[in-house]
Amino acid sequence: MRIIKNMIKLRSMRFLGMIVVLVIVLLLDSCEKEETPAPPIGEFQNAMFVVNEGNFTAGNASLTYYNYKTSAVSQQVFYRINGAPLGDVANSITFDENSIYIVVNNSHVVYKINAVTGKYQAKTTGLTSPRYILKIDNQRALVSDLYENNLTLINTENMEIISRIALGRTSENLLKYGNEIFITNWSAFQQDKPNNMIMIVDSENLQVTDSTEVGMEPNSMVLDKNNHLWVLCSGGYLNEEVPTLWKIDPENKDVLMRLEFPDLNSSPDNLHINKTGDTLYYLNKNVYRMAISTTQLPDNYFVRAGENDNFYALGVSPGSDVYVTDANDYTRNGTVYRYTPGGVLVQKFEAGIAPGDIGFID
Amino acid sequence: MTISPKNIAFAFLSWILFQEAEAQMIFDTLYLDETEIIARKYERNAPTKTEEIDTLVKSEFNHLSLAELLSAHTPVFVKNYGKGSLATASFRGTAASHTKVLWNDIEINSPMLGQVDLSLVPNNFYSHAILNYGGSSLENTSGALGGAINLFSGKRQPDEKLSFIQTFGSFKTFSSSLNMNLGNEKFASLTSAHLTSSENSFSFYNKAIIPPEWQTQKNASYYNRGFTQSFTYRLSAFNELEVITWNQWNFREIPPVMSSQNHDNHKEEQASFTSRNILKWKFHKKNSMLQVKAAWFYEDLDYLLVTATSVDPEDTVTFIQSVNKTNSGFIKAGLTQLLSRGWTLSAGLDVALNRVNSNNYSGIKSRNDFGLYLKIAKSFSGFVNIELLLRQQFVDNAFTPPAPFAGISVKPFEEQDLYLRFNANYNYNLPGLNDLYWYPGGNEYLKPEYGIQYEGGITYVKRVSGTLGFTVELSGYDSYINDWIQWVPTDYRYWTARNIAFVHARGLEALGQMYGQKGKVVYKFIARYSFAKSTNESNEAKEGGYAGRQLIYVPLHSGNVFAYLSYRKFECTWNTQFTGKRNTSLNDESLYSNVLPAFSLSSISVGKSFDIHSVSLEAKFGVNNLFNVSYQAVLWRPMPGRNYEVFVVFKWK
Repeated sequence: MRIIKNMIKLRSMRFLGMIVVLVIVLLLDSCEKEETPAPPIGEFQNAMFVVNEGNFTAGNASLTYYNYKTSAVSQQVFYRINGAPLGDVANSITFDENSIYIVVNNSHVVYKINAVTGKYQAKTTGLTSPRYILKIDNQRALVSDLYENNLTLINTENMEIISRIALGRTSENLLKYGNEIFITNWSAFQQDKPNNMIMIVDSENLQVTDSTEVGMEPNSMVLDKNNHLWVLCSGGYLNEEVPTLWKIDPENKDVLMRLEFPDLNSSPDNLHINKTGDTLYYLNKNVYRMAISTTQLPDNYFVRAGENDNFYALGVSPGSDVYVTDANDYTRNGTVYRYTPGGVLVQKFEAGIAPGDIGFID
Repeated sequence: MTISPKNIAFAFLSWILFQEAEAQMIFDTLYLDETEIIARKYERNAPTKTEEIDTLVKSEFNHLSLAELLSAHTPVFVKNYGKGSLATASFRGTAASHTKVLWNDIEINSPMLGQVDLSLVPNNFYSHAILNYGGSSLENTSGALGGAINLFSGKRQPDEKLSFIQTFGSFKTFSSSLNMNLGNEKFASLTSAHLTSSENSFSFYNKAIIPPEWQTQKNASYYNRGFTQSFTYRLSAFNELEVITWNQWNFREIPPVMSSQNHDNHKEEQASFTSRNILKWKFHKKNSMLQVKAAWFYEDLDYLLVTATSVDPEDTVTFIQSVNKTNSGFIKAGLTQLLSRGWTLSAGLDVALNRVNSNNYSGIKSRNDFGLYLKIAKSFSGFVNIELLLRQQFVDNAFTPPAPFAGISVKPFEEQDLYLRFNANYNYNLPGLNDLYWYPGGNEYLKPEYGIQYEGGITYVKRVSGTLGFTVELSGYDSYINDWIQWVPTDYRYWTARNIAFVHARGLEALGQMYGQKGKVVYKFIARYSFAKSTNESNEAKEGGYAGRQLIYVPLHSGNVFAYLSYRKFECTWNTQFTGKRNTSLNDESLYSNVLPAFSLSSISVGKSFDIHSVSLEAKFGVNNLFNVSYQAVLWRPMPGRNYEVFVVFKWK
């Protein structure tokens, strides 16, 4: 019995020693790295911005600034300059000469910040579910809304609401051509009509003057160098119809071309155009490119998404470089890939969580 | 063979088995009562880490919920969205669904979510709570990859017929708790009732908006009420029949995130009703005990989100109503037999049938889970204890792989209360029904998550004198969870559940406890520290560059201190909780929105009691968040600053 006890004692001392070693290892492991403060951001120059949505109801939207000449990247610039988070689900970024406007959807706010310093200037609150903003003249802008059947007209000096403009549908993208504003009706939510319309509002009297039918769920539109309007429709939330790309004459609203995507289950979006207005880009899992002169959709991708890539937003720089974001799994920072107009990857850098919109200051 | 904890343990185990013939028989005959069975589970010389929540601490928290009790007094991390809001538990760096909460041995985790909202468990609804760390949960339940919390309804306490606690707190917070014991030798009735409500309208400095401003929290009220009732009837000296019911109605508003700048068009709320009912028969005679339980649990959970346009509050723009009804039936039978020569044999059958009717599923979904376990324990002269357990499940007509457990404890010195323990186990956690059937994104082909865990620990108990004693305990664990379920995006806009992560969770838990009495001064001091490192080591994580980074909302360091002092009829309690910094995303950045800073919260209460014949009255005054710390437990969810509570406690003996 004594031998057993001694054996147990011996073993238990080893066991105790083992635990002590374990403690030391874990404590060493827990020594944390010193945090180095981020360098100051300075003035925005040659700026490309990535608006990172963050996670819904987590309040972790952010703004990434990238200097496309020097390739320097700064994360969380809104937070670092203004001492407050951008908010919950930042949706889009728009510019005028002096200011940057960021629409933060689930914070129900539009922030106006200085285009050079990034400092807060003013904000619009009292919005329901804002998505995009469009300046319609020197003092006024329209804000689209996912849940309201109105557009909101604001004064861009102080960002106060001037009035609401009845649209009869919810609104998404906004584009001004001449004296007319073209508005996509992306969401079927909160309206009893199908979501397959471009609504047209007169920019002078701010009344709905016209509308034109397109495919279901128009999600993006651009104007080409020939002043033709291109509208990309994903075909509906439940893929009710095949996705379509439309070419419309904005003068008389005639449909000049309608191209069908082959796969009912695909959801193309993010239609963009280069600065010269002759080449379209869009996302359909991969990045695709097509000349405005062609009459069919491209068969081959411009940039292929890797197996683990989750391409999420697209941007074409003034120099026609193509930027595509990868949202990864939405729980960690996304990645931005920069390609030359020839499709060569020149840089890859990190952005924030769910990088959902890209904007450039010329 | 390399020297690793695993190898040492297995060598040790085989050596012990060899020595079996020499060991002495210590159990001759032993009368088994249920309380002894329960007591055995947290004996110091058990091969597993199991502990009962200190009764003194529990009585201090009786007017609050399990969420507050666990975060103040255990190493379990509670992720809390605010008082009265959702609170979930995470044991040892695992997910909320890896913590199983049992009520009288039957799991109360929602079959849909796989987790329990701890803020809806009033502490006066159970008499004692037992924490089963890691593999020690396997005897009672499967799937507790982190651990399990078992809440037991009490036995009749003849010395306390009635107790009533009324509290009045800041932000229009009220709670009433009642416990009543009636009965005689043959029959016992236990009643408890709880009612709590709060406007929860605290002020906070909102730094999530520009310009920052002082705001009052809106849309954060709650109102919960419920009761439990048990009747126990002793049929004979060996037979007992018991029926227990727990019924509760809950309502809470869900406040928007701090950065939201339009509070007024937002109504988000959750209402639920739960009814849990157990019928139990117990037979015990000499060395045998047989328990059979049949239970039926019902839950009706309604979630509502209504938003209006900012132009017209009557013009509803979002109306989301989620209606979820769950019916669960359980049968649990267990037999424990004490054999000669220190052997104990236990075997049991668990049946759980779940049926969910949710407007988020396509059709009614169900799951039928049958489990069997067999446990053999052997005690060698009380110096060495060995436990071997095997659990086998049969779920929806398919076998899950067997879940084995092996553990050993050693008391090396006869005269010293020093205990060493080591155990290893395999465990499986079934996906929640939401993971399987949520529309869209539920994945019917999900496999169970499975974990391997090793645990070692040392406990030293010293009773210096009848009026002074202390306990020191240290535990270390190392676990690997495969096929960890995560929701990931698909090409078609919705997210889907997949067995994707491989998580390595390891850590340490330390406890120091001291109690004593000097003259008329009685004191108790408990301090805990927990280190939990939990990282995703899957190939995806390695490719994505985030392997090795601490999982979100798992603090690397946490701890708490509880101190109690009484002098004559005066008493004072102090509690400090420390929560280390938490990642809120997987990004390696020090900026605020990615990492929430550490915080430390303290509370104090002072009271005096008065005895008038058989009635005792106690008046208490408490201050929570004593140092008025501004903190966030969850990103951009405000928490109250310093706040106050007044208690009146009435007891009739």
